[in-house]
Amino acid sequence: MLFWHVPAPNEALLISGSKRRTGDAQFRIVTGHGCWVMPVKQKASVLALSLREAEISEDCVTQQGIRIGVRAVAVFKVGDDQTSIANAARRFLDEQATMEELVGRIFAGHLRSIVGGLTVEQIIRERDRVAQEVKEGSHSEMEKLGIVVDALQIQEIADTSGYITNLAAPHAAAVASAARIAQAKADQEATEREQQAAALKAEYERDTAIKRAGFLAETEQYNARAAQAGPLSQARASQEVIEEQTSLAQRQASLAAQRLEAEVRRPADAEAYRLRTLAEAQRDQVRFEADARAYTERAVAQARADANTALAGSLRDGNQELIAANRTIENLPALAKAAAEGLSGSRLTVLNGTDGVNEIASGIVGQGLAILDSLKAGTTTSGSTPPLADGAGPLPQKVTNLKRDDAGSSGSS
Amino acid sequence: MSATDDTDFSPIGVIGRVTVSIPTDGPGEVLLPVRGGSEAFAAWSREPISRHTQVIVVDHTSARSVIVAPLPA
Repeated sequence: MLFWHVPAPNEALLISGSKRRTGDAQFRIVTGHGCWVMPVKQKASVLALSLREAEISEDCVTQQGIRIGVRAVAVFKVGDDQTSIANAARRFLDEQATMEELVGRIFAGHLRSIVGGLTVEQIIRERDRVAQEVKEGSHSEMEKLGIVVDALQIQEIADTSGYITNLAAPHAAAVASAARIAQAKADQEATEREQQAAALKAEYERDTAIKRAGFLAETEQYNARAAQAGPLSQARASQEVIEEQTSLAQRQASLAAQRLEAEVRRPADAEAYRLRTLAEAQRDQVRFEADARAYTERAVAQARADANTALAGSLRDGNQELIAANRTIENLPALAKAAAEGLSGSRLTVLNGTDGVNEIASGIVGQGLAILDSLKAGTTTSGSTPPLADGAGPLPQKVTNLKRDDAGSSGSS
Repeated sequence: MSATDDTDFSPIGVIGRVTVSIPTDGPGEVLLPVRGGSEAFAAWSREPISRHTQVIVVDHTSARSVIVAPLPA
């Protein structure tokens, strides 16, 4: 439409020539909607409300009198309210293109005052103070122009006098020192760890070597054992063989001994026994013969003594019968001797030992004595002892002893 | 008229937020919701108000200047 004008969201439509006006303004301000503009009668102009920026580069002196080069950017726009639009429209409507430069110059002066009210440290660190100073310094002037300052950013501070560098020097030195300390600590720690690691490594190497040696020793031990196994088993086998041979030899020896026992000793023993028995028998026989002979002689001697006694008695009495008896008596020893000789000469096996021999002998002698006693009983009247036949002195004593022995032995038998 | 209403706006009673802290002797800045957007106004106060505090506009001295008070909690 030709007469229907619509402003963009960032534009204000200024219509002059209209009777209808707002407040004291001599023109209509339309934002956000369209309106009719009568041709010839009315004139419509557009004021951009969009954001603009102005770059400022200025040498400034701070509160402390230090010269610094400041580069800043100011961001501003025409205010949205009616007063601001009216103010801006009256001032900049035809010079909208030069608005940035103009505002920039104004801000350059403001920047001086702003920086002059602050110290370098505040500029660097306190953004709030900078913003406050901007508001304080520029607000009334900007309001006159109908401009709103959105931001004044200090982009760069050129340190021509080296103040900031020096300002930062202690901190930088401290930071560098801290960095060096940290590096040294890290280095120390790293060295410590490295040493620990090396120590651990050495320890592990030692342990490994010990273990390896142990295993090697074990292996060698088993190898040696395995190598010895052959000869050992051979030796054991030969030992067993030797043992078997030994036992065989022992058995052979015992066999030989038994054979000797059976073949030699037993017969020898038997022979010795036989010889001993024979010798004993012979010895006994000799003794018995001697005993028998002794008895015989004793009996003969007794008989002779008795005969002499009887003879003497009979001679003393002159008894004829005694003389007759004397003959008998004279012959009695011979008789007894004969009997005894018969006994001793006989090769009797006497079973009853010495007693048997005595018995026999005493039996024989007893018979002779019985005969003698019967003769003696007949001659007791004479009372005298007969003269000894052979005149031997000590014989009667012996005879009486013999008689007593005989009496004892006969009494016992 | 609607056109007049659009540009002639009174921010009194609007609740905003402090973007530049307000000292006792100088202006700070408050961000106020205006016309569907938000605009920065120079702000004065009886007492210093720190940043990010919510304030209520009690008066306006010019088109871009307001007097605020801290919003009672």
